[in-house]
Amino acid sequence: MSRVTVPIGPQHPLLKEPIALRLDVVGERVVAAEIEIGYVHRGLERLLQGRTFQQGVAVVERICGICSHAHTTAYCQAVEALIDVDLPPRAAAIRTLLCELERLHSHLLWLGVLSEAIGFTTVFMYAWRDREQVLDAMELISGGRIAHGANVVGGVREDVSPAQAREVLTMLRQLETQLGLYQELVERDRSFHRRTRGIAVLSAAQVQAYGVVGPMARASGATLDIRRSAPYAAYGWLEVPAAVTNEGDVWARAWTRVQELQHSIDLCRTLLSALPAGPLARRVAERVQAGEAVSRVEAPRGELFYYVRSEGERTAARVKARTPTLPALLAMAELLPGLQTGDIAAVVAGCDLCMACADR
Amino acid sequence: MSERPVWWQAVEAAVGAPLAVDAVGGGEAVIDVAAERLLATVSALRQAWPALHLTAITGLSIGGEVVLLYHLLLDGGLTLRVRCPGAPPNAPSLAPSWPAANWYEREAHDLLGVAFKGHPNLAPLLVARDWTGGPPLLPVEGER
Repeated sequence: MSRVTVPIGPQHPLLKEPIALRLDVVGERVVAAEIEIGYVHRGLERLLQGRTFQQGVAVVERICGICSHAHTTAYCQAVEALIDVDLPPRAAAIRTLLCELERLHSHLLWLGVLSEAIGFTTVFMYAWRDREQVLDAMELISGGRIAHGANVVGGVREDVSPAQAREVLTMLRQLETQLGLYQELVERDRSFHRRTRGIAVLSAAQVQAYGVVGPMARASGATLDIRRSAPYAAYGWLEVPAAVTNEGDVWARAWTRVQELQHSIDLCRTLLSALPAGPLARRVAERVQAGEAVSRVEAPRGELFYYVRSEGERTAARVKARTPTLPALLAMAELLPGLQTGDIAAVVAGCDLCMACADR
Repeated sequence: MSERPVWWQAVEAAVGAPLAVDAVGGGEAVIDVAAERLLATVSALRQAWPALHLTAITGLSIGGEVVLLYHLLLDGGLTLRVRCPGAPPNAPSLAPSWPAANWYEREAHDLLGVAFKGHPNLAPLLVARDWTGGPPLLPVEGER
């Protein structure tokens, strides 16, 4: 059989965002894969240079439409480390609450995208309907579904009133009922297993070689979770369970995320039941002393890293973000060869790519 | 420093000189490594910690010089700071021995024009293929 190159993207119904896959196939089998990115590169790191540290919050929030709050959390943490300011406990708790709500909606979005890719439209509809409830809760707290504008350097801008807390708790109760459906899907559904079990297995050695992070790494036996290894914001007061399994296939990536959905619901409940009293933010000076700081947070897709450098001015000298999609893409290029073409959609969707994050 | 971190001995042997450690905001350590000792240092660290994680490579332009920061994670964060001499700035490539570095190096090549010696493919990653404006993070003449 002859070798044929199949171009997928940068515009393609399989893809939610632009990326170019060039797959060499022989018959129905992929023999080589090449990935090109950069189609949504907006030069945001360049844009951040010369902005004030507070203006930077609005810019990094717009890097990603899914994990916008993780970006501002990581960025604010780095600037707060430069200023050497302590986060008030109430601010830490609200920041963390939004991080966990964001994880809920990101994992539900992913479950929907994967289900649609393998032809399971019912689960796609359910997952995205449930995700709407989480977005409503985030909107209730922050006023925004996607860009929350909740973080500022030194704290948060949005408070959570007792009435809001009750409403969010009601949403979490409803979501937990739905979660049983997803758990059953992952544990027992035969057609789901047939499309995901043993597909695109990522080994622990590959996780290390490509620097893969987050649920994708935890589905391959890696234990890295910044919430556990280097607790930030309010994670130091919380017990974050590990959702780790060794299978490394698409199924394991679903299993890990469904476990984490339950964990996030529990963490949100713990936070809402005992929100500490106190101020929402510390006053900070606009000028930041010279220095450099790094910050790591566990975004829904994995470790998100920021580096911020100040030269003693009102504006940032350099801001660098490394998002979890970059190593996932590197690993995906290794996973595609050897697959049947019918499995490409499941694997690409299963890697939980965010091109806006990767390209910045 | 009262208690030395776990990586001290391995890094000192690879660097071949007494270590001077800077602390960076966020509680992570930074050490200077000469460009020609980078591969040996990373290889020694990876041998000592098979689970060593390469988080990112940050490229900086400071006073006309390009500096690369290799952000690693073992049981805490550790950053290797490498000054890149020459014009265009150059550094040895980690990518052949550690694929995780592949795209981070391409990004530093895109944004700061760093030539990584030994890199398998330094094609543009983020900037457009027909971009002729020069590396976006290098200072432009007349601009601060």
